[in-house]
Amino acid sequence: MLRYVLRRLLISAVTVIGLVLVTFLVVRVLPGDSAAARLGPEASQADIETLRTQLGLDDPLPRQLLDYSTGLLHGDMGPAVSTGRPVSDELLDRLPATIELAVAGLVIALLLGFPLGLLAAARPGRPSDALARLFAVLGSSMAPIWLGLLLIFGLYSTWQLFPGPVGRLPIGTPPPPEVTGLYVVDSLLAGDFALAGQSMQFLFLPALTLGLGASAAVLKMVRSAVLQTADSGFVRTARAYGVPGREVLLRDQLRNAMLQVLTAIGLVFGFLLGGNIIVERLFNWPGMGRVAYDALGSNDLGLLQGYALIIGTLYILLNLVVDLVYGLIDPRVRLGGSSS
Amino acid sequence: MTRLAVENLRVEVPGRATILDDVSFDIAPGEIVGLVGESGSGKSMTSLAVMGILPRGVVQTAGRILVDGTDVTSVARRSVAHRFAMIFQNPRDSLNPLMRVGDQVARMVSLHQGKERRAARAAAVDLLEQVRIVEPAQAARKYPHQLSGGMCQRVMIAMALACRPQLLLADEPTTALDVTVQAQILDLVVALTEEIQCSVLLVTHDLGVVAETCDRVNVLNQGRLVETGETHDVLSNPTHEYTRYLLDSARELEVGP
Repeated sequence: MLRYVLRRLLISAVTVIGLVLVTFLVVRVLPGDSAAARLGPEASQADIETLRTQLGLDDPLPRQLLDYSTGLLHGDMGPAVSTGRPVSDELLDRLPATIELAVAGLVIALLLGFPLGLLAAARPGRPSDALARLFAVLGSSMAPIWLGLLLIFGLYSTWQLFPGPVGRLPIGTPPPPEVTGLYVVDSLLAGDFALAGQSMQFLFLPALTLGLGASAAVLKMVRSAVLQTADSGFVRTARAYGVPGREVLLRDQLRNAMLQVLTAIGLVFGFLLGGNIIVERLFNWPGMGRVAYDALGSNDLGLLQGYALIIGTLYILLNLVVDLVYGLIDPRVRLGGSSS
Repeated sequence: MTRLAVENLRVEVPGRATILDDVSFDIAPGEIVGLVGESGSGKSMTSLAVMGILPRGVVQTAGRILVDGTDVTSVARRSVAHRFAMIFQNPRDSLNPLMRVGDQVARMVSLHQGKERRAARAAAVDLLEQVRIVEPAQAARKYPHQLSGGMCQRVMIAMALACRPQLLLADEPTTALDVTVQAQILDLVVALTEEIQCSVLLVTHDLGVVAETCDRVNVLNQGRLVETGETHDVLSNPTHEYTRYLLDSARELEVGP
């Protein structure tokens, strides 16, 4: 197991280095001059040249990469030209909001998708299966922006069940003292249950918008992975020896299907982290997606680069965790050496 | 007196194909009966039908399956109710890759003998010893991928014994194993079932195996029984063309081209 863990860690480290390289190069080859963008249309050519030199944009590429990487090691991603603040501050301030939303979306996706997928796989072809699959088709074919609008219209405008799309807390309400940056967790840590409830209410609609679509993906994956195990030898053995159907489903089929399901959950979570720019915008959620969206508008390439780097690193960490959990579930991974 | 009687069994994929047609045979207590035929002849489907675990989409449309004179055709979880056990062609695939083999045997012990966890574990180690696994306590802690095919088949046999079976269905139990291991496993099955007076239905394409182990043999061709009788009679004096053909191909293999 130790060798497996070390190998995974090494692979992840190499991937992060690759990610830094790619994001760096992509931004350099893109058209657009961030010095010109920062100074605006009125700036003189001479001013732009001065700023270019100041920002090191005229240095040779390897030199720029070296400076950038050295900066990264100190947590410095350079200044964001559109706001003047450091890129790292700009993004990391917003990271907890993004994570809180993605985690809440994942929880909803799992709560809905897992049992429905299992229900569908337990009796393939039966009405329960058909209903679950209908839900999957609807969930995955509805664009998040449309679904979000529907939810805002129904649950906020019409029935007033949930607060409107104004961010993480009612306007003017101070956030809980910062520990993790996740408002629900922080307010619970501070013992402020009313505030925790409020944050959860504000979290619910955007998380549901994200989670419904993601639950369809989870449902489909759980269903197909569990069904694939239905024809395997060990399930046949369990059935032949009279193991009750429910136990076969949970202990034999689901456990063996978990490897595939985990991969899917990793992908879904990655999608929730990086793919929620629209939902953050729609609900005025002050996450990193919003920053990236604004950076795109103001042609702030350095900020976009930072965004891609942070989301990419989160992806890699996520994959690392998924790989390590594989090892916990599957003795063939953990102990290595197949004898077949 | 018959332990198992299969009467006019018919198995189909509805609207598509007939897999078994009017198959009847019986097995006496303690008897070893062979069921031979080429691949696709319906041998395995016969054993799955007897066990009550036909694959999805395949159904029994006619016939009865009697155990000690009682019709069990529609009894679910037949193995628990009537002490059937079954071993398969690919022993490693037949074991759950994520469970220690000792736990898999113990699970059958608690299911079929009603023992609680700790007692079932101890019984599982005893069973592994009975199937001649050396250092059974250590083997019990292994996962299937850490054991050889022959060892996995021994584990499967231990699971079968955990049911205290009256009938063992052995579906090509040695086909996937090395030749040297084949004989050991076969001897083990014969010895252990004799000890507990368990009947065996041995499904195989290997006439040599049949000659060595079976009291009687049934020959299956394209879903129909074409010949049945004492092993010695059938093999030395086949009356049906298909049986002769099977015997000829077996001989050719032995002598070489």
